[in-house]
Amino acid sequence: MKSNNPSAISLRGVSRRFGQPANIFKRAQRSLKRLRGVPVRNDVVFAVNNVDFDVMQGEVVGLVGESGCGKSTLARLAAGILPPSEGKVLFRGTDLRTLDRAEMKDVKLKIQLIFQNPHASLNPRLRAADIVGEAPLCHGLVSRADYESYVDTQFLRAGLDPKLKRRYPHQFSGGQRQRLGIARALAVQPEVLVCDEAVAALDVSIQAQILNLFMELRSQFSLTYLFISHDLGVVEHLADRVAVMYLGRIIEEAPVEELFSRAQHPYTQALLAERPSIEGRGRRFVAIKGELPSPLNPPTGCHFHPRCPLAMPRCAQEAPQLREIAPNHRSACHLNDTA
Amino acid sequence: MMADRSGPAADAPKAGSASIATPQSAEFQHTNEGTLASATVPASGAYPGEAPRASAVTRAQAASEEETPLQLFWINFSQSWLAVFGLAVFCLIILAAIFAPWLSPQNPYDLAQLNILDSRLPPGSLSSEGHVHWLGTDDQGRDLYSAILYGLRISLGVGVGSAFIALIIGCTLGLIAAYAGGRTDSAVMRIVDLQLSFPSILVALMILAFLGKGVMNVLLALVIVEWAYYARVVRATALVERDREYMEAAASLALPRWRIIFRHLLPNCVPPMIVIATQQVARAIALEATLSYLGLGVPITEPSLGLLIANGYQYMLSGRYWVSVYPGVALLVTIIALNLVGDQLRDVLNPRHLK
Amino acid sequence: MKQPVLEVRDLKTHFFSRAGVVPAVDGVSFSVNAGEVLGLVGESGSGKSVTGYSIMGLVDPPGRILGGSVLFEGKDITKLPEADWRQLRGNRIAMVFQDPMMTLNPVLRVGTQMVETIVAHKKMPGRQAQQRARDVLGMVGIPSPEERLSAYPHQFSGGMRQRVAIAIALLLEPALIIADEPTTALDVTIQAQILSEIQKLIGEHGTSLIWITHDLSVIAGLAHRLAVMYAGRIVETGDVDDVLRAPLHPYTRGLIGCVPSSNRRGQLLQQIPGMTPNLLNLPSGCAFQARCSRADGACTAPPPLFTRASAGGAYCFHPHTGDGA
Repeated sequence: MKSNNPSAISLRGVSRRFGQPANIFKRAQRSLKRLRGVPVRNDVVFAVNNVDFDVMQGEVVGLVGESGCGKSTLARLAAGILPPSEGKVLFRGTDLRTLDRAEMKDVKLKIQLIFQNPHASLNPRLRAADIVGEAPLCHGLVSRADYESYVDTQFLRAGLDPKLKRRYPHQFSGGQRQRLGIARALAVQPEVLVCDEAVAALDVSIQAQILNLFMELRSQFSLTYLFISHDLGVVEHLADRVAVMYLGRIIEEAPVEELFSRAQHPYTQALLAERPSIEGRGRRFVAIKGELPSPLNPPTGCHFHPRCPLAMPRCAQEAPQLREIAPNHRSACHLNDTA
Repeated sequence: MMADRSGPAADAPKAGSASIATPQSAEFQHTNEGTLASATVPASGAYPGEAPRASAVTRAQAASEEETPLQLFWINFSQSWLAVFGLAVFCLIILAAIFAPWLSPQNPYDLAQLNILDSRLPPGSLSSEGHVHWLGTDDQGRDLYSAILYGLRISLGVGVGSAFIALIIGCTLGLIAAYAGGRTDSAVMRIVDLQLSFPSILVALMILAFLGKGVMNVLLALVIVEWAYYARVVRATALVERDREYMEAAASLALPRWRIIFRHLLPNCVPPMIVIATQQVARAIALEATLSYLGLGVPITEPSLGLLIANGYQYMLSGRYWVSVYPGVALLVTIIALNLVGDQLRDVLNPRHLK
Repeated sequence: MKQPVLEVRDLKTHFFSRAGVVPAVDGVSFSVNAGEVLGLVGESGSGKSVTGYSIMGLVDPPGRILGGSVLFEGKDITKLPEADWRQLRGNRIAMVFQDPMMTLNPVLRVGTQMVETIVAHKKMPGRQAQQRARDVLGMVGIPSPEERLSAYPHQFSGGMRQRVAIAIALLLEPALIIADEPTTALDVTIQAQILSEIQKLIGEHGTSLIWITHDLSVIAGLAHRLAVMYAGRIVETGDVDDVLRAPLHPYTRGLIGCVPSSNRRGQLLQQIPGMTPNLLNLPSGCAFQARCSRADGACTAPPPLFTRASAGGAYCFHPHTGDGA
């Protein structure tokens, strides 16, 4: 349901490089190497490469990909805490680069991140109440008089007992810590939650609790979600629309039913075929060949071609563009042209 | 298929209301333990399953339930009785230094109280004024017991003082270098490298040769020599902490920069700083003693431990051992006590043990 | 019927910490037949990994095996001296860890490590051992095994490293492999590769396998039998079909309900309320009672075994039987 809603976050031709652009000595050294025919390793990584991507208001967008595909970088770009190397990030149609400091602060608060690791995402030296209440107090969202009750409210929203607010993070269990992270995000009254593998580190039974909490919060506060996960089951359960990333590029994007029933890209198909499930008892595992290529040295053309069972000569030369192949269904594959 | 889907699903998530936090440790994290073991002590055989072991409950984890970080810290620290002993001795020494005027029979810095006739008396002798010199006297007729207590004041004062000032300067620069990165980082760290590439005694000698004698000058010299150690360690820690997710969370909460640095980054860099500080206090005391021994430190009228040792050195061979030996013992005990504490602090505050 | 390869009877492994005794494994019994894959399922703190370590004799103080027996090929191995243990470990029983670097020495070439392992257990000339190492590397699907023998562990990717660890486990054709979450840290496509290799190898060699995991969906396709652990005890056992289709124990049922699946998109997941229990402070009787919707006064007594018609059963006063509701 790519609805008529206005867009919450849009990425337009966004790329993000990591690694220093080589200085003059390095460049000279490299050209010398090239002259002598020594292979030169590229030390700039395109974590995210020319991505166009929208999250509509009120929508839950799932972003799926394996490790190193750039999905965590994308999360930070979307949350405005990492500037893009190229392209622009828009929040409700406004380019983040055009904003002044105060406006940027407001936008940052509207988009909050929920992290994967509930141990590392909480400052171990602060008490739970300070973790949750620091930002609202600092930004004047709450007066000192109402502070305590405000923090209590946030605790309750996240399903935590306010009696625990004097404790330190290490005195909480993993699931509680994740709730604390959620309470911290909710406390600044965000409109968008960017969840980076937010349930990956949790036990199955706790994971279910947190997923339910996300769904309840969504209906309660009409939140928008960008939900990033490697777990297709979780994404399928939660998302309205799903995008699949491979080595810094989005290679397929479609509403959830469409993607899970009529995946077009060979990589998406492979992911779907290989995901383990409770229903698949006594099955034979059939595996896609090859390894994840290094993002330092991605394959030419379509990044997936060395592993693709349907690869053609053209795939090695030319990177396919993301094109609409059905209503709201976009895919980047040369097979779309031949079909 | 999977039967009943109503039932307990309706129960609201209320995990928090259970009052006891489960130690997440129940699985004991042998993974971490084992990885460390196999990485640091490569098992020669490398048989499958040889390296890792379920060595289980680390001290911190077992207890991480109801205690504040400070309680936890003390429980871990007190595991070594030697360190507790060291701490007790060091506390006694500090108390002795603070209450020196009340504990000592004479003020060794008041030349009017010194009697040249009492010089070089062996331990236990009676002075001309009728009190006992338990540790003997030096060549100026100073009661050594009093001189040691007063000397400790200077040694500790200079040691702790310089370490504290160096800590503030070093930490601030290290934090800024780590947080800002880029050119600021390079600039600060090159100065640190330059500083550390000279032997500290040489730098201190040069500074004192330039500035001249005096307690304040010694303090200044020690600060200049020491700050780089703090800067380097704090920067290293801060670089690790800077990339943790809670720092990203702080950025995403749009907190002011100074708040992120001093409220989020700094407190998490404190543990290694404490360790370095203890070791640096010991180093500073030793360095001050060295400088004074070489005659470049404190003035001759207000001897610190190092100067007392130097004064007695010429009498060592003539059998008047006490003039040098007792101040030496005092210096030794102070530094050993500090190092005992420092070693245990290093073990307890080691991030590998913490997480 | 054949004698089982491994039989664990009433195994108790406790950890003696400052805060009290942690009954990590508290009276666990199960058996594994030749060529069988047993899935040992549980959340963190359930004692599934400690069970694996106990079988391998890898429990160090403050942990101690307090009681029970582990019969491996009919012999109780809990009381073996360390020297005999070393002969058994890697030779007849092998373990694969979640982090392959736990088996791999980072400063030795993979080939050297493999040859050393062989020579330590079998009288075999070096060249033959080298040959064997190469064969096994090829067997687990590592391309150009001859060259990879002289590589160091860090030169392999995560998935390849796990394959090497599996190859080392397979080197001496053990009768039993214990795999502790070996694919948890891997990506979906790589996990599928490893699972397919394991499935193939187990089938070819008739090796028994204990697969320890928290992920029901991984084990569903691989295991023949399941044992579900909770707070140091096994709460349910049975054939994989029976356990997953008609779970008896409320915990198993809850665990299955927690897994997001396609036919319930957008609805709330069935969740188990509360937290994983504190092992220092377990209630008497059934450890699950505080989180269980069916619990009543009876549950404070040790729960009885309710046997399933086909095989296995659950320790519960109020099992989900027949009603299918």
